[in-house]
Amino acid sequence: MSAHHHTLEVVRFCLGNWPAAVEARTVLACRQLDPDTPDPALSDLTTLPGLSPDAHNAPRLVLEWTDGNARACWVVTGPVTLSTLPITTIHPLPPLLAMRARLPGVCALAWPANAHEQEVILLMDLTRISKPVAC
Amino acid sequence: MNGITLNQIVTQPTTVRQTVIELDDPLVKLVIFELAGQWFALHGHKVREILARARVFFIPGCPPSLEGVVNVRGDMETVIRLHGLLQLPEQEPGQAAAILLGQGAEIRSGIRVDRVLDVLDLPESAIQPLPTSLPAHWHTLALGVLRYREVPVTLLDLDAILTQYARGLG
Repeated sequence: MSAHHHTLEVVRFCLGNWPAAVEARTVLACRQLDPDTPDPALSDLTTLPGLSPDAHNAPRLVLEWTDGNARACWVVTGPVTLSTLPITTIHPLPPLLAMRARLPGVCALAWPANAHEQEVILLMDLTRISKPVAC
Repeated sequence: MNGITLNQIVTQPTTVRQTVIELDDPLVKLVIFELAGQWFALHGHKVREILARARVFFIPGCPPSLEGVVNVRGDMETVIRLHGLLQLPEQEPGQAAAILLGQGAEIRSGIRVDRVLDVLDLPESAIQPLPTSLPAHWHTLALGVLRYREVPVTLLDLDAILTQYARGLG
């Protein structure tokens, strides 16, 4: 949380066409995915069930992330940006959504930060996704 | 001619002429609504609010019966469709569509309906047991039937509905 405790610093990216974010404190780095020599061991978050395919020509990036112990890498769709979310916009998953939705790793939702944004932001807890790949 | 005179009528206390109301029959508040051409009701105490126009935000990874979430004064509530659970034909929400924000079995959710018809108090005795002619799968989801504007209305059990929905039905 920020010094004011009214916002949460997040790293925003996309899963398919969908806006998503993780806590910024867990992200170590971000780098371009080399399309010529893709690492087959990299876990691709953009292929999680329930997501539509990536936006055409959207940049693919590797997010280096830690849970405090291990380091892991995940492929996400760009752009990747540092952002803040007011804590009043962040909500735990409503009960029926938690029970019925099939979107692993999503632990909370945030209302769109701006009026022009159309979608709810998926807040991810990457520890909930099994088998992160060491990098 | 029934033997009563005008003088008798005007001199009779008004209370004697009124229809006798059974005071022991408690009233129940019902929200009556339409879904896929059929009329249903929910107990009023299970419905916290009726949202006439609310923007529903789609969430990926949800079954088709889970429309998404709505912002209710800052709170996030799901919106579900009961067509699958009640085995009703799917229809796109029309202009009169609304969301009933209900709570049952300690689960809170919005329920999409095609049209809210009325919110009214009825004597409890107006609710009749479920007839055997009702579809078999409704028997675990309904509490009784009643007539409203001469149309049969099925009173749904929101506790059972939300419990079954949470278990993956519908």
